Amino acid sequence: MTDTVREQRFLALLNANLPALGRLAGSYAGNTGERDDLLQEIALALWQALPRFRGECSERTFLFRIAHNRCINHIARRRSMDSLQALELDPADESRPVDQALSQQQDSARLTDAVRRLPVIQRQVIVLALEDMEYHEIAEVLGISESNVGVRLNRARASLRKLMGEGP
Amino acid sequence: MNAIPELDNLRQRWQTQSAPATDVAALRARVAADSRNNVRTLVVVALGTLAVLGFTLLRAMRSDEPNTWVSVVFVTCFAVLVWLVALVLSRGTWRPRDESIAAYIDLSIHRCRSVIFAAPIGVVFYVAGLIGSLAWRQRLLGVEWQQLLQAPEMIIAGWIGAPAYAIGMFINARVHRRRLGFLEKLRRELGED
Repeated sequence: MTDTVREQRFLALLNANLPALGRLAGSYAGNTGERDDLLQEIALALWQALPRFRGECSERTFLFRIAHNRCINHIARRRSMDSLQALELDPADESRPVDQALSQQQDSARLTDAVRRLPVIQRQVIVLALEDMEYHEIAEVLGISESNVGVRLNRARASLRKLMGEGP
Repeated sequence: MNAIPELDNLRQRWQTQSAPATDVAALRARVAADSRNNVRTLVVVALGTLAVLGFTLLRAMRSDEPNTWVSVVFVTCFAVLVWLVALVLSRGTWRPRDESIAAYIDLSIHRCRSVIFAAPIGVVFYVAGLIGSLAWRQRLLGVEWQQLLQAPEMIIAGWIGAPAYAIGMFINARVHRRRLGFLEKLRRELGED
């Protein structure tokens, strides 16, 4: 792969997916500064991995695989053991009423916060599902079966409902 | 999947998040800078080794004392040994076997183990290098031990530097041991159906 082709592919992939990558990074980072650093790490990893892309999957799948790997590395560095432990919901969160007057921005921030608190195994699946990925694409990114995606997604949705105090 | 109304609602809320302030051009510029820095770091370490070797060689060539060539042999062997051990320890830590998440986690685990294993070896090398340098001065240049142990460079590199280096390596190994625990647990959990 020549440098020009690499550069073009790199810029095209980032241009098309930057908002999605920002949201993905945001679900693994504690604040916007950390998110931007993680985004930078993802960009660097993509740049380094692009010459190894052989077209076995779509470029988007390839990009999200790299992004997820970076995110896992990031939380490993942060030693976020809590994110791996069994989900223990804060009763205060369960009973937190949904404020209908919340702005769209606050609403989405609450969702991000809830996603961030999911165990990694569920967070990976729900983030990809929220980015409009189909089961088979999620399975490809994470290297798991489609039925496994379904199981994890159901668990993630149930956890999210509890965390956001929206339903049973 | 798209037919799940609850998920559609969540998607709408999820995708209204504000986009990151960083733009693609800024990311590209920082990627270029990071790539340059990675290469620079490697070059600096390699140049540092060459500088030490060159300095020892130059000193031996200028000296009338034939014993100074022993120091050239010692420094060269030591540098080769350190680089060889570093290369052996970093085997398999350069890139994942494929682009899967499992391969990346395995790579991170391998890197952590490598760092943990390298910590005591690094301390042994540091102390060995220090003792070798002192022994060479004492035996070949005839400097007294008392004088060597109280020299300013020995105070900095030995009495302060050695414990500081050992503590640094110990802390680094501890951090990586924790990270290793996390990654091993993550690998187990991600493998579960």
